[in-house]
Amino acid sequence: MKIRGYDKENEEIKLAMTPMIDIVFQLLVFFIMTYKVTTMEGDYNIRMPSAAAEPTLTEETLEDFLEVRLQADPETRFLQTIEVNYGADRQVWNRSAFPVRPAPGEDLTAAQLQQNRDSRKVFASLNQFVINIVGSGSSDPGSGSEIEAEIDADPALRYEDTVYSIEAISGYKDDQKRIVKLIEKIKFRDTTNQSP
Amino acid sequence: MRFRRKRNEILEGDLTPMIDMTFQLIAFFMLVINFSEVELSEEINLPMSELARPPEEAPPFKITLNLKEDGSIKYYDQLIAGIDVIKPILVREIRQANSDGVATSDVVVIIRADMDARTGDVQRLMNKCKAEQLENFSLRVIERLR
Repeated sequence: MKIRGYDKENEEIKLAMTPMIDIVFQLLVFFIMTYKVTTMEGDYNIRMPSAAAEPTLTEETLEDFLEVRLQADPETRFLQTIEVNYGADRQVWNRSAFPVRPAPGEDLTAAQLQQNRDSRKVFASLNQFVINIVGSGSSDPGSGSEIEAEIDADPALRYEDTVYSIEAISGYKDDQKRIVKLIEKIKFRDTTNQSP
Repeated sequence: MRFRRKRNEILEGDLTPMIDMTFQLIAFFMLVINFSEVELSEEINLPMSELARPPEEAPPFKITLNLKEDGSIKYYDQLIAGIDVIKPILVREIRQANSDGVATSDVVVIIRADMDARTGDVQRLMNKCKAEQLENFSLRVIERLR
């Protein structure tokens, strides 16, 4: 019997590749265009229960209470002084130099770099102070301290400097680049009743 | 001659390696694509920090607020002119959270504030959230690499 098309059966079957490749390239371009290189983002957790739920300060709780006051320079809005109050312990650090930002496309000069480095020292001082008070209290370095910190920041202060202060209070990195927690209970001073 | 005949045939290169490679690329980009980041505004210059780590577990319900330098708030694609008019959005999100079975006090407010924003603005924003019984805040920073 003669079957129609029998001769063709032995030929190679050719798939139409062009549409598939078209689609595949479309997909590829889409995914490349939507791809975003993102740096890791992290969080500082702050718990601020409403005033009614908060226990009132007694003599006992007052002992484990660190107050951090941040004062901004009126013009540049960068941090000027840090004042800490812990029990009877009071210290004030003045930031002598303010950080300099490079103009777009420019590098910092050596003097400006030094200025930036000096300006970070104020946070290192705060960090050292917290290490001292926490070290005298608790013994477990992994869990953080029972001490509560309250930040009273100048409203005009650049948020950046507030974060550096929070960083200095919350912990540090040891020689092996591990994070050592210091104070975990950080909150802002209640400014609800103050005018902005 | 025999060669002449072959030259008249359609010359077709081997497409298999190219298609293999292209599929590999597509698979790669499909895996790294992250649609969950739509609420993160790219206009914000986050402050940098060495210590902050990404949260170990995702919060049951989160509200991400991007606070810009001038005190306006970016919420998804919506630009909110000031902190004082944020309330309707908070109320809407809290209602959404409650209908999902998440208590208001368990909702986490993620504040992505610009490094040059005023600290007072951040505090005012937190006060607005506190007025709606929100208690948990996360201050978002970007990891500083050394």
